[in-house]
Amino acid sequence: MRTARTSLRSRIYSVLRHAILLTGGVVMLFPFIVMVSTSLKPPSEIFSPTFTLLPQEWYAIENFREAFTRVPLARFILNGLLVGATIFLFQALFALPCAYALAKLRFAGRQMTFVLVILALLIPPQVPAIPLYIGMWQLGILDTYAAIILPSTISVFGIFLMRQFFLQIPDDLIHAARIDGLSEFAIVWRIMLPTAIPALTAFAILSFVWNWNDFFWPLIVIQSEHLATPPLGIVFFDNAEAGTNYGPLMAGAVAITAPLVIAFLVAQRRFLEGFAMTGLR
Amino acid sequence: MAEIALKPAEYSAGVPRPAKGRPAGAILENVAGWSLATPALVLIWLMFLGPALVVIGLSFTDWQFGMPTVAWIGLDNYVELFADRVFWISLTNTLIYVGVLVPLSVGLGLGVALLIEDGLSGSRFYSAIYFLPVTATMLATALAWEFAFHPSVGFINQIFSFLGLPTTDWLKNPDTALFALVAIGVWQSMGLNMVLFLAGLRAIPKDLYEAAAIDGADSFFERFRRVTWPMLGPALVFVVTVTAIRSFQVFDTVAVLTDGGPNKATSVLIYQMYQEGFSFLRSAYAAAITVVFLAFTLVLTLAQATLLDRRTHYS
Amino acid sequence: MASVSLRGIEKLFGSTRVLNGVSLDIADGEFVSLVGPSGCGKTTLLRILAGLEAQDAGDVFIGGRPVDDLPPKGRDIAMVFQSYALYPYMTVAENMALPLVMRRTSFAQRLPVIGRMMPGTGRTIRGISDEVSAVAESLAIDHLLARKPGQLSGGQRQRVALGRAMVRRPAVFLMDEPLSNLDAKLRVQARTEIAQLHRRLGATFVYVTHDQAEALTMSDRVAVMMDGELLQVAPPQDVYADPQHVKVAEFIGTPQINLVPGRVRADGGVEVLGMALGIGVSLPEGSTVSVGFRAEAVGMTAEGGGHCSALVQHIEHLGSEMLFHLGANGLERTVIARIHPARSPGARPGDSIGIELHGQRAFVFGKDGRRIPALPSATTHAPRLFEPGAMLRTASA
Repeated sequence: MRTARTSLRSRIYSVLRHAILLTGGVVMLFPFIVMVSTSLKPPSEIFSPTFTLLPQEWYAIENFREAFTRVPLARFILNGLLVGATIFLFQALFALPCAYALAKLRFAGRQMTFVLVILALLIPPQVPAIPLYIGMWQLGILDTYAAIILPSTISVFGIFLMRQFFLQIPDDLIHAARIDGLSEFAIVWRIMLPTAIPALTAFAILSFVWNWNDFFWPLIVIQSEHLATPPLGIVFFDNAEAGTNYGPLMAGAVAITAPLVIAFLVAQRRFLEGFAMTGLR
Repeated sequence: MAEIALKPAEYSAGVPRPAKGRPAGAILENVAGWSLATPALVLIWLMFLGPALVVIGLSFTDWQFGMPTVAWIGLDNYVELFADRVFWISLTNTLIYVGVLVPLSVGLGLGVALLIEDGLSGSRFYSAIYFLPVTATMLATALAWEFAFHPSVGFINQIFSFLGLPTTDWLKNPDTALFALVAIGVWQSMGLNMVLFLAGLRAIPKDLYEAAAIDGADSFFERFRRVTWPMLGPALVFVVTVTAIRSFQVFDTVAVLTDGGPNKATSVLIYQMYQEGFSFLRSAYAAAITVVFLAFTLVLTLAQATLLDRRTHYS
Repeated sequence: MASVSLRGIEKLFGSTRVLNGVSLDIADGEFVSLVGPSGCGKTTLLRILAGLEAQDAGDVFIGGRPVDDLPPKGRDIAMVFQSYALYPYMTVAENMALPLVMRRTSFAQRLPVIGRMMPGTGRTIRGISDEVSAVAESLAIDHLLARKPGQLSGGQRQRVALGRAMVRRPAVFLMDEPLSNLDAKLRVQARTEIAQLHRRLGATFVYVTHDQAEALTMSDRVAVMMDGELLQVAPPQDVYADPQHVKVAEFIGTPQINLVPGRVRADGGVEVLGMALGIGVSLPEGSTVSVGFRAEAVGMTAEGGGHCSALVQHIEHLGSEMLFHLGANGLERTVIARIHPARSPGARPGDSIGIELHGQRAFVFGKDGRRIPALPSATTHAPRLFEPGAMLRTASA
């Protein structure tokens, strides 16, 4: 118990705590440090036998220019934004009405619907890959934006999350809306959506981070460089460089890591809330 | 009245209906419910459940991508799979990867969460640092790790030789490559576990610790054993299974850093599935691997459900 | 058994001073309630007494022994929490046994598997279990011993929390609003039970509540706390009938005491609305005071009589009594009169009546809120008014 007036023991403990956490923190940050530090250095320093944190000769501009010209890095980032935003919009569009129906409406088959959602929740994203690939091949939409986006248009996790959130909204709010003459459809978009903004924001963050970072599916369906999402793009870059030109490669890695890392540092609390919500199910 | 079949827990989630039935309202609610749920349901079938069933069906055929004909060959794919040396290597590698990563990632995540939550200062700062790898793009950080593991100029070997420890080409040495990937996996996943544990720790009522202090359980060990550990039980089960399920899906680092090598030392289930299905275009064979993968995932989920059932305290 | 002494306890949260030098002596075996509005510091005081919180200044003594440097477990106390703080993953029996287990077994004996094999563990555990059963029986919860808190009702949980405190036979019981999570009916019943428990155990009880009814019905003495200070510590009847501070008078008693502004005359007599009350104080002429009348110290008479005329605004029928809300001319606040139904003047809302203020039962408070002792005054208004039966006459008028 922290009961008595600050004792020596608790002060030692506090110092120890900071020491352990700081050491661990350095280890956690170390790949980022390597990444940023390498992106600032000329090849000669990168391959020097002793590691230095900062370069003797600043080479950042050259590395980043190389990264952005050798491959369409800006395009990759734009693709990432476009794909992430589109996917989230679709996910919200389909998940919100379904979550509302599951949480607040009584219809024959509601329980079955919920069981299906839970079942789908258990299926890892790699399982449907082969049939989806075959299907898209038959439709002739491989190597398009649609191919990346389509499988993610539905998020069962989103449905589940929003259902849990809607369950906490008092029924009276919905009764009042019905008495005010709103249709069920209008209730979803004009009552439930605004009340669900906090949960939806958290889900938006999760969804965007997942899709920005997803590598498996874009790798399967995308061949054209100009359609690549950031992780796929950096692999194109890696292959083009045959893994020797680390400076520009790390510059590229910094460029595609930076948006989410900066977003996280700016909206830290929201991110942590969002990811803590994955513990709901 | 189909609703009567609903379990009480589900039932209570619905809109309480006045005692006297309103058939017109009930029909309307049915129509509304179905029309709001149907688009999502259709997509769930199209993107998850349908393909999952197709994968299972496909695994009993001889189909290869692009072939015009399909034949039912029963269990032949599985027979071939279980005789396939690479499959056993991949499965063993996956199990080793999961078996080493889960305790490390969960243990470190819990340790960090306990340290962060137990103090007053720097909590936000530390949780941000430890969480950073979770948001960072795995592919990009994997490249940074690759450079760090570089045999001659890599930071890790420089440190190891400075400390007088043996050095090696971590990602090219068959004895170390898988564990190098585990290290990256632990680094990447423990932040999320920490956040989940922090949420769990913060949900423990403070007065339980106070009651324990008055009852005499006030040492660090007793506090942890009498309050923290049992109260964290459900979160722990969840974190362990989720980490296990996620690490079962390990693919990115393998694909970009080792290509399953050297000499299959880092081949894992999903990587083998990817190769068979999308490089060699043996769709049916890849489907069989997928089914094995799915089976493991479901077993883990089942284990979680039974454990959680036993460890939930509140009715 | 032990006495409890608090000496000059101060506590700051950041820059807010929550306890401002509180001193309190509690005799061995006494039942003292700390009562006050939420945020007055009573719970903080209790937690300092328990050792859950460290004071910034002052000392705590239990059984005459300073305990400031002792952890909670060393203070020979037990506590019942507002939320009960039962361990949800333990059965009732395990919950109640824990304090004894922690005290009577060694660290090694408590180890999961090895502990069972240590010599004497079995005997100790059996002894503990017998004591737990005995306490559970005395609280009529012995049939619940195998259940977990999640399977119990609120009232049952409250008893388990009491039981966990009792098994250890502590010298001092600390209770932090233990009844506030019960419904009204159970609360009244539990009040009686706790009071009986106190008599049976003979231990010292310190009981924190914001509910004056709980404080007044159970305690030997009530300590009224406001803004981090003890305003009055006295037996229940005294806190009501002899409040030493205007805030005590306001806090204790339902309906709230009627406070009307008064003035001191040249002869020391106190007047309200220009009429003498028949009591005096030793204050200079022209001093303003606050005069408090309990609802039963306010009478009603025919219009034109009494101290002033008033309009009946609202009547509450409470069965055994009636409360008349009276809007008096010249007074900002509504005056409430408590009248026995048999003596009701029969006035209805909207009727005009006269108010009689019974000066002999009034409390005079100075500007600082402290009570000013009243002396008999030469100039009385009309002694006739204090005759018994006066109200009957007005009623017939």
